[in-house]
Parts: sequence; structure tokens; C-alpha cells
Amino acid sequence: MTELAIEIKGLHKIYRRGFLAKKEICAVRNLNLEIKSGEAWALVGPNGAGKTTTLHCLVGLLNPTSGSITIFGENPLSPDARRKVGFQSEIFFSYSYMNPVDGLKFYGRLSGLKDPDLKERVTKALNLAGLSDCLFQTMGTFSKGMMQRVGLAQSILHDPSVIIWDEPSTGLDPEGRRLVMDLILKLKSEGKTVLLSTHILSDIERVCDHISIINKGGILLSESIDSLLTKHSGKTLEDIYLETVRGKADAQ
Amino acid sequence: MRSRILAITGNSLLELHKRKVSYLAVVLVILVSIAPTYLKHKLFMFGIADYKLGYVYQDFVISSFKLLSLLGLLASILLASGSLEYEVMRRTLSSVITRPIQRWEYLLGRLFGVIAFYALIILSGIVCIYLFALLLNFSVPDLFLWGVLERFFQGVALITVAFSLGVLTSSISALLTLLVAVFFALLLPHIPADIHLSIGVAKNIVHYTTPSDWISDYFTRSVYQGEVEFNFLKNSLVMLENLMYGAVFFLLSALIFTKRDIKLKDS
Repeated sequence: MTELAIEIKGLHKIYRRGFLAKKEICAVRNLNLEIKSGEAWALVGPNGAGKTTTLHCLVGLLNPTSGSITIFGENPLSPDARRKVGFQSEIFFSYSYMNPVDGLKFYGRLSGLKDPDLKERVTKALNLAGLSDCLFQTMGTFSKGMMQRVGLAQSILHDPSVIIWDEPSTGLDPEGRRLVMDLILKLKSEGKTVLLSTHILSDIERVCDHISIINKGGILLSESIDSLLTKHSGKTLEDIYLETVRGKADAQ
Repeated sequence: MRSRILAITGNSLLELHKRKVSYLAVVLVILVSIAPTYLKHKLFMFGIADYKLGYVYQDFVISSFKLLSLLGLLASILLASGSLEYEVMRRTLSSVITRPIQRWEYLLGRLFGVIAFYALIILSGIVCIYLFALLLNFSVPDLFLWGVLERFFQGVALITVAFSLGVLTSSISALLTLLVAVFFALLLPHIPADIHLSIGVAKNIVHYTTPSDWISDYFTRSVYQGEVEFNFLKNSLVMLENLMYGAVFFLLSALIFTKRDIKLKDS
């Protein structure tokens, strides 16, 4: 039986706002998700659906209000679990005074990598992200797309088993978008687990095995893409997505 | 663990350098090295005839080091208070925090960065003073280095408090810590007696809440002037108390920071 890479059970996340934090905003409610090792899984949904909150709970940036999360059976806050995870936020920010080589070396050291292995991995990651032409240019001069590429490189630097990307194609040109897709396919072929949030459904259809449609903090649909397309023959993933989101919204 | 903390410390120092804070340190050391001679309305090298050389030199050591440590400390306190906030503002925190590093390790690394900056200022001051001594063929007072060490540990405690307040208070940290910095700076040993009296209440609060009683000027001043009996055990304990005082604040802030949500979109 394939091992569970990510397991989310009954996740609730409530943001508290206002005076004395009395105003409550429920971003995620009773979310359950099981992702097996080696799967490529897409999390899609309208803006404000709770995708980023879920991903941030997974990588330990946010503390769940209730529910449990495990990564390969471990608490995501433990260094052991984090060693297995590579994360890129929606818009990647790094130290403007560093060049990508120094930046990645810094992140590598935090991940427990040491020279000469570190140097080798930095070069490999930057090549994979298509940044081999600007290795010694400070990141302060980088465009948004180039920063996203650095973000991709740092997320795969320490050879993680689980890759979590939040809208990795944001700000990327068509070539960059293709690079992201190729990278996902490559990671999948290496047996890595990929969880990404994105709005580009055609990309999902190309590279992902499963899709979870999320809205208003809850999962509306969670299924393998192949079976979904077979079930709704003649329809695209976009049609199914819109029907699901609109249908459930009408019902609600 | 050590390599992760050191990586954060190194980056924190590099960041201070890139923010041109290192220039401040250089200006501070130069200014402070020159200032006491002008304060005396005499050029240090040429007005010697009016003074006993020993007094001039002792005065120079005391004044310049006090000024240096005070200004260096204030700068470090301000940097410490905004250290975390600066990282949140630039949105670079998430790429670090999501690595296999404990949040307290991250905080410790950042704190060590500011302490290293403060240590560099103090060290530069010491080098300047010893160079002057060498140049003028004087010997530095016997217990000078010990006094410096004590002042340094006091500074470390204050920096840690400021850093912890910065972590705890988030957006209003700079303002709050500025107030705390001014408050503590006023209580440093070399202020005139009338100011001491006007803040008597505050003095007492500090006196009763700090184990080291750092408002007492007995040690730092008298060590420079060689008037006090030196007690290794007692003065070591004072330094240890200072460290523990800082450690309590640090632990509290680390505990709260561990439970805190790191929100990227709002930051």
C-alpha cells in the first residue's frame, strides 16, 4: 500500500480580527485531504476559497484552529517533516542584496546541506529553474518572473519528497510556465509528491493526477482527473470546475 | 542546530552591512575617539602641559568609552527592536521559517546578529583606546577590560529585552522600544544626579525588577578609576544575572512567536 504523504483531518482555520479579536473569519472549515506519496495533486478554487490558508497551515506558517495535519505521519512543524517539504509562496521574496547563488546557499544551510554537496545542488537547482545566465546578479534587480524562478529553485534545492507550490506560474512568461509544468512532470517521475494551487486548469489537466475543488473553506469535489473527465465526457476540466463551483454556490 | 543559527546570524550581520548600518559604526568610533579631546577644550596631543598626563588619559578613556557604549547601545537597541519587523516587511520571513529550523533558532540567530554588531562597536572602541595608549606610551587601567565586559553584558541584556519587545509588539515595536531604550539609557551610570532624582520612581521600579541592579554605577565607574576592590565572583554573578534577565524576555518572546501566525498577505 502506498504511503500517505499528506494527511489533513478536519482542518479549521479561523482568523480573528478587530478590537479584542472578536470578529471571526472562517477561512477553512472541516477540510479533509489524503495525498499518497508520488501523486501530483491540484488544489483549485475561486479567490478567497481557502487554498493559500490550507497550504500555509501545511508548511507551518499558520497554526490550525482545530484539526490535524501530518506529513509522512509527522507533525509539519517538526524539523524532520520540514526537511521533506519544499515550499514556494505565491510571490517569492528574497534578500535583495544577495545573488541567487548566495541566496540558495543560505537556504541550503538552513536545510542542513553542507559543502561540497550544497554547491552542487545550488548549481543544479538554478539550472533547472533556468537561471544559469544570471547567477551573480543581485536579486534586487530581478523581475517578478525571475524571482519566481528563484523561488522554484529554492523549493527543490534540498531534494524534498513533498513539493508544495502556491500558484507557481504567477508572473511567469509562457516559457516559464512550460518550465513549471516540465518540472512537475520531472518531479513526478522521480516519485515526489506535488501539491499545487493554481487557476490554470489546462496546466492541471496536463500534469496532475488528482484535483480538489475548494470554495468557502470546504472541499466541494475531490477526485482523480481521469475519472472526472470520463464521468463528464465531452466536458473540459474548466466546465466541470465552473459547474461545481456555481452549482454548489447556488445550492448554498 | 549551530550551523542554522550561525547562518541566520551571518545573514543578519550582512543585512546590517547592506543597510549601511556599518557606516554608522565607523562614524561612531571615529566621533567618539575624537570627541573627548574637544570636550576638554584642549587638543589631546598639544594641551598636555595644563594637565597631569595620567588624568588626561584616564578622562579620555572614561569619556570616550562611555559615549561609545551609550551610542552603540542605543543604535543596537533600535536595530534589535525592528529586526524581526524588517524581515516581515520585506516578506522574506516565510522562505526562512518554512525551512527545517525551529522558530526560536531563527530568533536566536537574528538576536546574535545584533549582538555581534554591538560587540564590533565595543571592540573597535577598545582597539582605538589601546592604539592611543600605545601611541602615547601609557598603560590602560588594570581593570578596564573587565569593566568593558560588564558594560557589554549589560548591553546584551538591554538588546535582548528590546529584541524580545520587538517580537512581542510587532507593529508598534519601534516606538515602544525607543521609549524603553531612552528609559534605560537615562539610567545608565553617567547621568547627572538631578536627572537621577527626577526619575526616582522609575529607578525604583527597575531596581526591584532587575536582579542585577544595573542602575548602580558603583562597578563600571569605579573600575575605570581603580577605586574599587575587585571581586571576581561577585562581578561574574552580576554579568550572569544580566544574561538571565535577557534570557527570560527572550524565552517569553520565543514562546509567543512559536504560536504566532505568519501572515504573508497582510504583512
